[in-house]
Amino acid sequence: MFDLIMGILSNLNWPVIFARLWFGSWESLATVFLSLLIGGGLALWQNFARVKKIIWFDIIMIMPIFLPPIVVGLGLISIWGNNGLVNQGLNFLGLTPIKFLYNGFSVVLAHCYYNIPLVYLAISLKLSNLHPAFEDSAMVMGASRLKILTAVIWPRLRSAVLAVSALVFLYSFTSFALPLVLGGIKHQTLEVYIYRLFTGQLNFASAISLAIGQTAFLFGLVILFLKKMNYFNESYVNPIQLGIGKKNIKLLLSQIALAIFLLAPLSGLIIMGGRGSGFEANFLFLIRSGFLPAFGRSLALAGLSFIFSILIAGFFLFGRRRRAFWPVLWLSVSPVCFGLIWRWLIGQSLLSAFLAFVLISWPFNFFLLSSYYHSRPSFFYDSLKIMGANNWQMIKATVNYLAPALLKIFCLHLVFVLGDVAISGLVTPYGQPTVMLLNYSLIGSYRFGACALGMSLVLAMILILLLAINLFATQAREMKKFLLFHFRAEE
Amino acid sequence: MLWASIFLTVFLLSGCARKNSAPIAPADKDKLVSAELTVYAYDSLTAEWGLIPAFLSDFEKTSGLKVKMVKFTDTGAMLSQLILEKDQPKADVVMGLDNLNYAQIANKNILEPYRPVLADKISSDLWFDKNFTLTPFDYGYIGFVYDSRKIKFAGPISLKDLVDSKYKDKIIIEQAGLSSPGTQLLVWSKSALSAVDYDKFWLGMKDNVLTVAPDWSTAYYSLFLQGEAPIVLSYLTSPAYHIDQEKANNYQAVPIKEGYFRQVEGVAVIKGATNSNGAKKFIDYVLSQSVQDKIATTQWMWPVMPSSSLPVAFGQIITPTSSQILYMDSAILSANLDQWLKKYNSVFGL
Repeated sequence: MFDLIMGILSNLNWPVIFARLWFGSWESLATVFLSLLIGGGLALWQNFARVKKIIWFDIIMIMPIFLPPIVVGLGLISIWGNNGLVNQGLNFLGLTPIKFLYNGFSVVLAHCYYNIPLVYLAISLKLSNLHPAFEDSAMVMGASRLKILTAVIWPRLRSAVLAVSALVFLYSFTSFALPLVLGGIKHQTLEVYIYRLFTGQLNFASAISLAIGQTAFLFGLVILFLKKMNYFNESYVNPIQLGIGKKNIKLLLSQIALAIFLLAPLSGLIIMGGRGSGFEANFLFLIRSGFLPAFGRSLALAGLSFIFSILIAGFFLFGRRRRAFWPVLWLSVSPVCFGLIWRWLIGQSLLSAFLAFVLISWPFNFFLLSSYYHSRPSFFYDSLKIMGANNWQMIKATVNYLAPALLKIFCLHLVFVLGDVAISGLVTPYGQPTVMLLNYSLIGSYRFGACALGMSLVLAMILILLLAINLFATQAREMKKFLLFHFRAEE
Repeated sequence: MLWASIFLTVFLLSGCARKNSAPIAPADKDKLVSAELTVYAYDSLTAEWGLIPAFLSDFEKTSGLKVKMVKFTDTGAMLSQLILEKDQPKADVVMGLDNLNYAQIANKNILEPYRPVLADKISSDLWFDKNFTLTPFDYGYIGFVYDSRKIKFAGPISLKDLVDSKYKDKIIIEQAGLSSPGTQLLVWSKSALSAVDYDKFWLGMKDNVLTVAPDWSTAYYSLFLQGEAPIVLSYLTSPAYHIDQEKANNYQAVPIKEGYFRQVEGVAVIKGATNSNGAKKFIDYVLSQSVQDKIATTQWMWPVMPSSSLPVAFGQIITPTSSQILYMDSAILSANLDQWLKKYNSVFGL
């Protein structure tokens, strides 16, 4: 056994591994720092300014989180590439173009594209459940903004910041496709080396050993990090949640600037949609390719997998012990290893795809749900018991309390499944692709224009769905308030 | 408890996903011609407008077989799966392995030789071996494609001329060891250049490449067609697509003095397949005229059958003559590819 292990370890290219570890660590830390600075900073500013939340901005912030790497990569290239909009602008002004991409920093840029919205959503979700009374009292007593931030807000926000930082670090460290596309050959993560060992060198023992080592390293790191977490129970009545808020032009301009940063790369896709035969021909080609059934299939997978994913997240959330242990362990597992072994064991089928989406999404859903749940008022369950609520009524009250978070998580899950290419590519059966996989497969057949148009259509449909869901939720809340008021008045 | 349940579920599902583990007697295999046939192929072969969907339903009607298609993101993943399943293969046929994959897999006893009915019509220089362990069905040539609106080539150049400083940040290549064209470039440069020129070539390419992409789709679609660099490593047939479908003549292949390395793709029966008779029918069908005629406009490669029809655009691209085709013995490939990849990685600082 010892000889076997030594044999496996001696086959590994240790200078490469250390180089990948170094790159993965610094780019993940840089991503965490920048995402907290911009995403977290915006959420804090919004809280301080007591500005009412804007639905369209929240929807735009949801979109990038789970977009497929090819879409993000293409989008960033269309803006920041050598022939991108920025360099075209520099050329127009007679300035020397700048090579923004194909280095380590472009990997950080790409990861920030995903994670700034994630951090913003997580922090603003937490902040929306902090009662402003403490801040107001501190302000009345003469505390400066900085003092309020460090002494009043930070202790209550710390757990959310640590949790989302851990998530961002894990996602960046185990990232696969974007470092390849935008970082070139030198700036690749350890995941890529594991994949090369599996498929390029057919060295399974070394690949699995390295994957286990990576998992242990990440898991240990994150657990140490999360030990600093603790939970504060708060009143959840926040004026911003009730729709009361001021206007702040500077904040609005910053939100518009961030929205442009996030949406601009996606606009490049729309322009490419007319490539080749033109929009109409590409659209008809897409329909003949089975675009609509693929979209329906993706929607069904998203809906079903969300339900089961939330059930698992809820099981760990309401379990007695070690809440964060299993989700963190699961997130630390090498995605490449998981995908290849899963496909080998389970095979390709819609059931396999459904299970894969459930298993991959539940840790993320757990962290979001947990963050919201642990912000409930400390008297929440005590009050219910005092009022004589039975178990079923307590469950109903909990679900009602968690409803806004569940809606947001569903939106994120929808984007994840509709935009996925990696998992679908591994586990969906022949002839039954998901919608993004169908689009991506057109590249291999040289149907570039149709591919770009298909991706644009999916993104547009995601936006419409997210708007509809959020509008429906708002309408449902208003309708519920109206009905309650109406019936109480009658009584 | 939950994890125990999950592992138990996974274990049971894996059992459900596997074929019968008991080996089938040779006499009984003949009775399975009307049964299911499992085919492994890579993504673009199985994509909506790829080669396989173009002929699959006709094959099923003709043969009476029900085909279960399993797709893979690339041939590397497909090879891994074949090796993992070696003792209990799930597949009957594998389609899409090329000459480099053949060098990796030839001595692993995974493929069963089968000489197809139309074997004699295939040019012998396309054969992988005399036993037809892998049967060729299409071929192409790796080449550099450029956008003539942005860069000009007055005439043929040497491969080593690409390291000239005037091409700095103008070339996109795919990564060897991860992408088939990237690995093909490694072998191409090895067969085209002397040992000294080979080392200089890769040291020079390291400075001249804008980036090394993970696969052809990223290199060609995400980078080259976005205008990031005017030269990309692709296939000599890539311009044919643009001429045929987009009526665009600006994408052309760089003429290289030393010649071109040929990539041949093959289809094979898996050793121990449940339905080896069905697999042989599949291979024979792939070599039939109806399928071979579809290769040029789905795969954008040359079909192995000489009488197959080709689009007019194929007449307007570089077609290497026999003296321009470079070869590498599979035994040499098999023995040295790992070493070449290690050296390549060290040049790029990996």
